[in-house]
Amino acid sequence: MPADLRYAIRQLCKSPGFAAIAILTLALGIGACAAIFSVVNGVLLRPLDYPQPDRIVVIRETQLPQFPEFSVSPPNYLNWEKQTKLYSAIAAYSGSQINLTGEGEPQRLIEVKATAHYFDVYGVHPVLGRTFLPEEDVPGKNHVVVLGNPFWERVFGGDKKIIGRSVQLDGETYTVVGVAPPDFGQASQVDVWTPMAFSAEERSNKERGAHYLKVAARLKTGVSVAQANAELKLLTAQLAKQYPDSNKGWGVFVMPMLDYSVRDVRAVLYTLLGAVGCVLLIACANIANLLLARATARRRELSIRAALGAGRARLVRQLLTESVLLALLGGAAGLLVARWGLDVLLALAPPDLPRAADIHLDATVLFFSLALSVLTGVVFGVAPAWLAAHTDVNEALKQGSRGSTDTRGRLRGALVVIEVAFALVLLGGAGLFARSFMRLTHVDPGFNPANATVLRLALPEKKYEQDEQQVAFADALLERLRALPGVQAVGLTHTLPLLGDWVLGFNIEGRPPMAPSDLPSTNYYAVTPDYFRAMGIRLVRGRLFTAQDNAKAPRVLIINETLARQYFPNEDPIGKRINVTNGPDTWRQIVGIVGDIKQYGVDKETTSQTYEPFAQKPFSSLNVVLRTTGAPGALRPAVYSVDKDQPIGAIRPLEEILSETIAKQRFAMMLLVVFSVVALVIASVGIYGVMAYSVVQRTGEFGIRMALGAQRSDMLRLVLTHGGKLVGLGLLLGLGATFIAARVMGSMLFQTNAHDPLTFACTTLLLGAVALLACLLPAHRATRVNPMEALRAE
Amino acid sequence: MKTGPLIRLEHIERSYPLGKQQFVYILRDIDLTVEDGDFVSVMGPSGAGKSTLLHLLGMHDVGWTGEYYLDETAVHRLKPKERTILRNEQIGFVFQNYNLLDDLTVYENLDIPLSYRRYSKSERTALVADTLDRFSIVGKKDLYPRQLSGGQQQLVSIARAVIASPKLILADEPTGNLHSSQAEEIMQLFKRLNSDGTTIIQVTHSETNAAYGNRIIQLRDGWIVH
Repeated sequence: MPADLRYAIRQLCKSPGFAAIAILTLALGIGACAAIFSVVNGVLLRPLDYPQPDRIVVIRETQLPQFPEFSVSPPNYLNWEKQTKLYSAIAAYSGSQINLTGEGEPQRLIEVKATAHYFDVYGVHPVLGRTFLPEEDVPGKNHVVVLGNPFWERVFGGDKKIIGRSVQLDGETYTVVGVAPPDFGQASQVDVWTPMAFSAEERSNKERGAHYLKVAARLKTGVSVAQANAELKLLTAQLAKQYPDSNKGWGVFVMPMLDYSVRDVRAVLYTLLGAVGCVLLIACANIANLLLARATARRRELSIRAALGAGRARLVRQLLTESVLLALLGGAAGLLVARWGLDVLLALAPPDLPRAADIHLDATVLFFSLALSVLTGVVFGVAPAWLAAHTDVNEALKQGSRGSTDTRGRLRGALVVIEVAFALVLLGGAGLFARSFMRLTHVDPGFNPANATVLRLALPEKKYEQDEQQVAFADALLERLRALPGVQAVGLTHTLPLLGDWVLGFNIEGRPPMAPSDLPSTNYYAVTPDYFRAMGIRLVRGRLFTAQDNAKAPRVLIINETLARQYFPNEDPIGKRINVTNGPDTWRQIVGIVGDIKQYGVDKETTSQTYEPFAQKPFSSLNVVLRTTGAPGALRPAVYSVDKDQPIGAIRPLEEILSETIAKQRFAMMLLVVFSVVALVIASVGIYGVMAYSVVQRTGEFGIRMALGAQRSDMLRLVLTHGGKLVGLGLLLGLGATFIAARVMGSMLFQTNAHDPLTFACTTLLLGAVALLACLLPAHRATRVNPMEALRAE
Repeated sequence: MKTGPLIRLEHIERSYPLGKQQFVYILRDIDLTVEDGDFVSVMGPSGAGKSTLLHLLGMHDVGWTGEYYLDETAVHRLKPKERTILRNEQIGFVFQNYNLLDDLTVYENLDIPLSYRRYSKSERTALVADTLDRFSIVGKKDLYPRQLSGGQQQLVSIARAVIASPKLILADEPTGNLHSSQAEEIMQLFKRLNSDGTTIIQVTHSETNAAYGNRIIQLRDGWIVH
C-alpha cells in the first residue's frame, strides 16, 4: 500500500496539469456539497442543544381543513396540563414585546410569557439565580423576570449581582430572579421571560375560543410521540363533547420539536442537497473521463506490469489509490471552498431560516467531506481502473488492437449521457423554481409596498390603559408624522399584514345564529382613516373611514372583496351589519368594500378581511405606515415629541417586509440556478473533452473516409451526429429524471405546473444547444484532418 | 473528344519547411505523363517520395507547386471542394494496410465511398451487391474486417476502390502485408481491372509485382531517375 501511495503521488506530480484540473473540479463539487451539507446538518440533522432533545415536543391545535395548525387557548391548555400523564413537564408560552425604562434610553424588549415549567421542558438551568416557581405563575405574584444572557450582558454589563435587582417593565417593577444560559432563546432573540400568570378570566370557559398560546412539553422516558398524540386526541375529543360551542371541530397534534421547527425548510434543503449531489456526480463523470484517457495512454505501462506478474486486483488497487488520493486532495481543497461557500450561503439565507446559529463546518461536516471524498474517488476511479486492469497484455504490447479502446469509447459515451442527464435535471429544476419565483414576484399583494415605511410601537399597558389614552397618543403621533416633509399619507393598524394576524369569528345580522366554533373567520384590523391610502389599498365601493368615525359615532366596518363575494354573493353588503367577536356583542354597519390584500404572503390564499376604525376599537399595539415621496425623515424625534419615554421598535421599508416573505423561494431559486450553471459548464467541458478525444482517436478513420471521398461537411456531420446521439440520449434520460424530480418539487412551486412544458422545452433546448456547441469545435477539428498524414500515422 | 494523357505533371515540387528559410524537398521538378489504360509501377528506396507522389496524385496533399492535369482538368487551379469532387469521380484508393473501417461490416465498408457520392439508396444497394458478387465475397458481407484474413481484407479494399467505377486506381504497396500467394492473386486482380480499362498506378518495392504493369518509374531523392 505505501508503494501504491508513493507511486500515486509520483504519477500526480508527473501530470500537474491533469492533477490541477481534477483537484479543482473535485474541490468545486465536494466543497459545494460540504457547504450545503453544513446547512442540512445544522438545521435538520443535528439534535436540539438540550438534554434528551428527542423527548421535547410541540403541541398545536388544529381546525381542519382551514387551519392545519393553530395556537392553543388557555382553558384547553390548562385541561391538558391537569389531565395528561405522559409528560415530565408541560408549558404554555407566548411571545410579546415589553418596554424597558429606567436603564438609559427606553427600549422595546422581546418578551416571552411562560408558565412555571417552561425551563424544565427544555432542561436548561440558569447561569445565575433560578427560574420561575409555581407560586409565581399567578396574577399579583408574577412580577419576577429571568433575563436573556445577551440582554444581561448588553444592558447590565453581565453584573453577577443582578439577582434581586428591580427593573421597570411597561412601567411596573419586576424583580430579577435569574439569568438564562448564553444561547437559550437566542434564535428568537428573547430579552426577558416573565410568568404567564393566567387571569381568572383567561382560565374561564369563555376563553376557550381565544387561541394564542404555544405549548411545549417533555415526554416521560419510554413514552412515544404516537402515545402522546393518542392521549391528547382523546382529551381533545372529550373537550369537544364537553364544550361543543367553542371546541367542536378542533383537533390537536404532538410533534417532535426538531421536526416542527424545520418543517418549512426540510424539502427545500434536501432538494438543494440533491442538486449539489448532481453537480458532484457530473464532476465525477468528468474526472472518470480524464482517467479513462490517461488509462489509455498508460496501457503499455499497465500491460508491462501485468506481464511482470501484477494481478488484476493489484492493478485495480494501484489505480484506485491514485483516484482516491486525487479525491482526498480535491476534498481538502473543497473544505476551503465550503468555508467560503458557507459564508455566502448564510448571507443569502432567508432571515427566518431556523437554527441558523447551529450551522458550522464542524466535525460531522469534516467526516462527511472525508467520506464523500473517498466515495467520490472510488466512484470515478473504479470503472477506469477495472478497464485498465482488464487490458489484453499481448495486444496492448503490440499496440495494434482497438478492442479495449472501443469499450472505453462506450464508457466515455455513457459518461457523457449521464452528465447530460444530470445537468438537465438541475436545469429543469432551476427552471421550474425560477418560473415559480417569477410568478411570485408578479403577484399583486393588494397594497403598494414602494415608498412605504413601517414604524412599530407598543404602548405600555399601564400608562395607556384607557382607550381614550391610546387614541389620543395615536392621533398626536399621526399628526406629528403627517407634518414631516415628504409624507403623503400616514395611517396605522393594530396588526400589520405579513407580520402578525388577528383571526376572529363573525356573524351576519339576519342569518341563523351559529355556535361560536362554527362561526366563519376573518382577518381583523383596527385602522385609522388614512391607513388605506398609506398602504395603497384601493376602495372598491362605498367609503373609507373618516375622522367622524370616532368612539361616539355609530359602529362601522369595511370588508374586503373576498368577504363580500363569499358571504354576500347575491346582495349588496353595503348597509348590512356584522358582529365581529372581539369584545361585547356590537353590530357594525358595512360602509365600504376594499381590495383584497395578501395577509400571509404572496404565495398564500387570500383570506376574508374586515377593518374597524381604530378610534372605535383602539389597541396598544401600533403599526404606523408612512407613504413618502423619498426617504422618510426623522421619525424617532416625532415619537419622542409625543412621549419621550415611548420605546420604538423596528423601522423598516414595507418592500423589505414583503420581500422577506419570499426569501425562502428566492434562496432556493438562486442556489439552484447557480448549481445548474455550474453543472452546465462542467457537463459542456466534459462533452467537449470526450468529443475532442474521440476525434484524436479516430484521426485514422477520418483520413480513410476523406481518402474515400468524404468532404468536410461529411466529417462535420459524422462528429456532430456522434455527439448528437450521446447528447440526445442524455436529454431523453434527463427528461425522464426531471419528470420524476419535478413531482417531488411540485409542493414547493407556486402557480407552476411541475411538468411545465415550456420550462422543460426551454431547458432541454438550452442544454442541447450548449452540448452541441461543445461538440462543434472537435467536429471542426475533424474536418481539418489531413488524410495523407492521418494515413501515414496509421 | 479527349485526346491528351490521363495525367500530366509539369514541374511538380513538394517541400516541407525545416527551419528559417530552410526546406527539405520530397519531390523535385517532376514531369510525368500517364496515358489512359496504363499500369504504372512507381519504385524506389524508402524516402524517395513514392507515397508523397501517390497522395499528390490522389489530391490528398495540397502543399505542392507545379501543374497537375487530370483528364485535362487543371487540378492546380481547383479549389479544395472542386478537387474532392474530381477525386470522387475519377480516383479509387488501395492501401498497404487495407484501411477498412473496423466498426463497419464488409457490406458497409463497400457502401462508404458511394455514400460520399451522388448515388441513390437503390443504386448503392445494387452496386454493392454487384461488387460483392464480382469479387466473390457475398458470403462475407456481414463480417467485420477483424474476422477476415489479410488477403480477404485487401480484396475488400480493392472492391471498395473500384465500386464507384474510377478511371484511376492508386495503390500504395497493395501487397506489402500479404504473403506471396495472396500477393499474386491481388496482382492478377489488378491486371484484370487494367485489362478492363482502369488506369492503375501502384507504389511497390517488388520487382515481381512491378512486372505486372506496362511501365516503371524510378524515384530517388525526389527525382524521377528514369
